[in-house]
Amino acid sequence: MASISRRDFLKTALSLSAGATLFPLLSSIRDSVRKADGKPNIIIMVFDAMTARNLSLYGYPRKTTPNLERLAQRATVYHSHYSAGNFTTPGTASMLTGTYPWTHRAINIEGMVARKLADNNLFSYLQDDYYCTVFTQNFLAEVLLDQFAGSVDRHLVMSSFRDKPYRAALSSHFPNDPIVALQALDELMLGYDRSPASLVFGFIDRIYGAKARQSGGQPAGEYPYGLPDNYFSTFLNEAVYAGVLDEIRSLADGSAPFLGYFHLWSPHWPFAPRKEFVNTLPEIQLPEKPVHKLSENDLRKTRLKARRKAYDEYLLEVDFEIGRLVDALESDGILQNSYLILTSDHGEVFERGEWGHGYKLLYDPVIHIPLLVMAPGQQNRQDIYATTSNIDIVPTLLRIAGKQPPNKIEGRILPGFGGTDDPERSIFSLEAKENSSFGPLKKATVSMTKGDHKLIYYLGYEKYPDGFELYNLREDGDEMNDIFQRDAKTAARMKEELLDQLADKNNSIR
Amino acid sequence: MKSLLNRFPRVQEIIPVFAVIVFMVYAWSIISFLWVLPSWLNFMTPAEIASGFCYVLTLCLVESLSFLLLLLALCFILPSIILKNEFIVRGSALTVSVLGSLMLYFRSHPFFAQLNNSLYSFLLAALFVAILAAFLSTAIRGLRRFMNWISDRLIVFLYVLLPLTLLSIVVIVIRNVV
Repeated sequence: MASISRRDFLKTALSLSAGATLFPLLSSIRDSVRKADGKPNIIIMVFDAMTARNLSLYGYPRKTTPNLERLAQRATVYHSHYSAGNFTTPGTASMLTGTYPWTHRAINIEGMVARKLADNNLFSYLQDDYYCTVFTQNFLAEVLLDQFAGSVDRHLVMSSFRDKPYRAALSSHFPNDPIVALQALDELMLGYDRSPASLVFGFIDRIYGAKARQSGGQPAGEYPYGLPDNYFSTFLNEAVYAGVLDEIRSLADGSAPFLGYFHLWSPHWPFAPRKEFVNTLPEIQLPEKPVHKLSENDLRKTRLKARRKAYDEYLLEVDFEIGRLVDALESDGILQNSYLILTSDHGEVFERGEWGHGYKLLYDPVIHIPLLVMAPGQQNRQDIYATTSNIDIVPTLLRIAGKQPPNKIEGRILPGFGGTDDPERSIFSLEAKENSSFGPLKKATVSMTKGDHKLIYYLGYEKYPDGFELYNLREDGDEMNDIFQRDAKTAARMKEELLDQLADKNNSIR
Repeated sequence: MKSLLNRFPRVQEIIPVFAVIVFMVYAWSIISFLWVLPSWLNFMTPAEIASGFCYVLTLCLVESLSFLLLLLALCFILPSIILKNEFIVRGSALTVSVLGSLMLYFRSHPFFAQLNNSLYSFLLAALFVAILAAFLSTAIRGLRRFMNWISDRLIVFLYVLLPLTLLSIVVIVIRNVV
């Protein structure tokens, strides 16, 4: 072994101590720069799988969201807000990059944003001015947040605020190498939506998971349908919301303006409300919709009805927790200098034989999501009926932060925050999880909403080759009457635009 | 102490069985890795992909050693006549049947969400197949010869996979500690 001279030792010691001294100094300089121009804080709350269609805020006959309705009196409420994707990966990636799934390419389960675009995200755009903290309970969103880790100051791990774990999270043992460890160990070796690449540990993980889930799914005191869980651990919503509140309070105590992104699991399946919310909502009559050709579940009406009821009860609990959280933020004075954004990554479906999300159908319940924005000190309600997309969140927040949205962002500034209501604007949503993420779209469902009309295109499905459906959302909000043949003029115009868009995007990736 | 050690098979007997374990465990993982490689190419840099492969190999080694330890524990617990005296043949047969059953299980139940009672039925079936395979491997002469032959031939993979795994461990240490 080579000996170290006294000179070398002194040089090393000096460098280390200088580094140790300078690091906090540089951090404090960055914080003081961040503090200098007094930008408002930004808090984004994402409630996974919350469809606007089941919220009484938007006219649903069951009173599922009394607190959101109360908060809406001091917020900007978007009535026609759409997610660009029908499950977490594309929906969240679009919200955080301001681009459509056919651009960012996070279209598969556990997918990530294309490498060349990964540095163009909300956190990277704002990191010079904002202290960025992120947290999610959803493992698909966690993959994306890990990908954006370089632009984030604080990343609370997915297991924060959990109750009992029932899956190993091997990557948590490699905090210095989170993306690679997560992809290689938790996603590939233990597997979730594919066979685990580790035969023995993958199997042990599943036995452990089955046992724990069985006990989690049992009625337990306060939880008649079993404990809430996110496929990795059980958790209690009150504990999660309390943890998020503590985190926001500590962020507010800091000197720099902060951006907090909190992506919470509930009201995602399993629907597990507390006892006090069960059997509190009345029976309702909803139009019966025929099973679709591409329905993957073909669930009977009674099962759909039961699941809808449990979902609505779970919404009621989530709404209660949101109300409590926002009230606390308000009484702390945090909302005086903060924008609060309440939204979802995608919706949830209980119709046409289908339950859940992420399937081939793109009817409104799975892509129509809530969006409420509470501006600092806002006292009046503002209703926006223009069609908007979750790709508009990034440019709007950049505008709020006093920055110019880059041209590569496909979203626009939301009406109400400097944007305009453009009736000719087309909003797209995409389902393409069976399509290759790095090839042209050959098997996908695309929906295009423009004004009152919505065109749905089913591409490459054997059961429904090149199917088109057209609905007038103003006259037929339940999407019961396909007018593709009847309104041939609108159909032809929208079809041409959609096919042009698709060809354009496919050509750009070839 | 010596009598305790006598309950384990000799090293020369352990190595061929370990080779069978390593071959099956690594093969399954490497094939799975190749399945996801195209999507990783789209999302990760070549260096990250290579590092991901290092994690895969390292976990494979831990997994292989764990499985071997399980077999050795069985040798220790059970009477010698059941496993220890025929360790190469029966150990290899157990390995092939158990790991082969797991492969079949994951082919038919790939999703974590498919957790249900099938898991426990499978465990019982796999146990039965493993015991049957261990018994038949010594009862049928052709099978015995095949087990001896295959476990001997697979040793060559140890010369390739183990050094690669050691290199992988170094890479992981560098990425996480240095």
